[in-house]
Amino acid sequence: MQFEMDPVSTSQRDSVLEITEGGTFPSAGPGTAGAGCGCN
Amino acid sequence: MKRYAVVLFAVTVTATAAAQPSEPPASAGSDSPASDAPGASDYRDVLSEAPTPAAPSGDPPTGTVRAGVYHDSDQTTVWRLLGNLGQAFGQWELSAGLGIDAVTSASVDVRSSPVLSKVDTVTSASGLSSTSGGQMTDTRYQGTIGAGWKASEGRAINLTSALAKESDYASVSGGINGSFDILDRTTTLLGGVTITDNWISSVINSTIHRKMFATAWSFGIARVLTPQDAVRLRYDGKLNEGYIASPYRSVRFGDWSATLGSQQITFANVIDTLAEREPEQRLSSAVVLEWVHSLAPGIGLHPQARISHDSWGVQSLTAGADLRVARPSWRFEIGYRFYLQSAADFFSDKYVEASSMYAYYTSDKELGRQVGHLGQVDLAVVLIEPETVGGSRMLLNLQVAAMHYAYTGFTLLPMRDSMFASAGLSCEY
Repeated sequence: MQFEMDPVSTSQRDSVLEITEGGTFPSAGPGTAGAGCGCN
Repeated sequence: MKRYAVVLFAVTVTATAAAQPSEPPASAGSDSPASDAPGASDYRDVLSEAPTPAAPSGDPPTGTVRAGVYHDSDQTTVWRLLGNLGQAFGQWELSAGLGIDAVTSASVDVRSSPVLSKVDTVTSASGLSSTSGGQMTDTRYQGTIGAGWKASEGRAINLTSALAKESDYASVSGGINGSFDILDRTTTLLGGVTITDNWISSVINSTIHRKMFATAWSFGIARVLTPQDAVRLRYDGKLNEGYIASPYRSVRFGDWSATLGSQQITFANVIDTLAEREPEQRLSSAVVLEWVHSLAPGIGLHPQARISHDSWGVQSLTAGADLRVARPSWRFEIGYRFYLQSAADFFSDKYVEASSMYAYYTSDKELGRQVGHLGQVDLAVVLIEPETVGGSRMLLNLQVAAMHYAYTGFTLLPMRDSMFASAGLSCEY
């Protein structure tokens, strides 16, 4: 019984949330830190 | 254009290890002691990846290719392409990934920038062709390498690393995470740490060279409660130190008004304009509770809730649930997610006083109050079934997500609608 049914799809969604919710979304990785610079 | 840097990292690393600190593996129950309840094993295919045919010797390599596009009403489009390869060697698994994101944006941030919104100033001053008036374009490349070790007793360790580069942003990251089963493997302890070093520059100001160091950690516990239920409780933390602001966003001071144009936003009654200034340290914490419940063989429900707080005063609440259906030749998932966030202490839609009156100021709408809704549908279909044990198998993956965000009190962009769609193939040889 796992929590991620499809890890790739889950992370795809999470990566989109990085775009829409910016630095408030918790996942960590290159470029994720902070409210961040960017065009959007 | 750093914001999109996130995209491929999350995708590739999770694909390789499924063990980012923010997404640690939860093995509790995945291989738990057999239940006496009839059909207990039937639910497992609902809540886990499609079963992999057992090979007579060794595991087959796996490969994933996905292409996707993100587009929103703030005039931003991201084209995405990624690939990932994995190979198991006994208890070890090695993986590598490569991702490319191509971004085009004429967002509010770009159009409100005094420099980015002017064609001649940007292109002639910087000598770069990556921007044009009222629009930015950029391409991000990222490579990832991962290694994982998993023992049959329910112990696992994963190492991850990533390198990413775009025209104004570079980063390198490394992480370790693991899980440990206890209590007859009905309970899993999990945790991990990731560190990331970031180099920030600007295509419109060659003198900007700043750094930001990020440390993220996650600890949790997952437990199988019944043959139909498992829960996971997790704490996530993150500390950012260094340059967290954007070199592109500008803040206007005074009781200004704005006229929104397709290429430029015109402001009136502005007494001063400065690049945004944010604190150079930010500590964030979040608690996440998840529950997976089997409604019937092949059908599962996955509700979750998350609360977070950070040292800038931003607090958020997330609640969502998804329904999962799994059959031998396909999987389907549909979900909804609600997001509510308060503003940072120093956020203001208008800084009406002189700039000297403020220690920090920002024009980042995502630091203001916002309410978000997300709906998502996923479908995976087996295209080629292995005819023999150890044969090749191919899956088609389709994903669509729609989002709506309301930025209460943000004059320049009251709301934003977004759509993301992707298609991919996963192969096992």
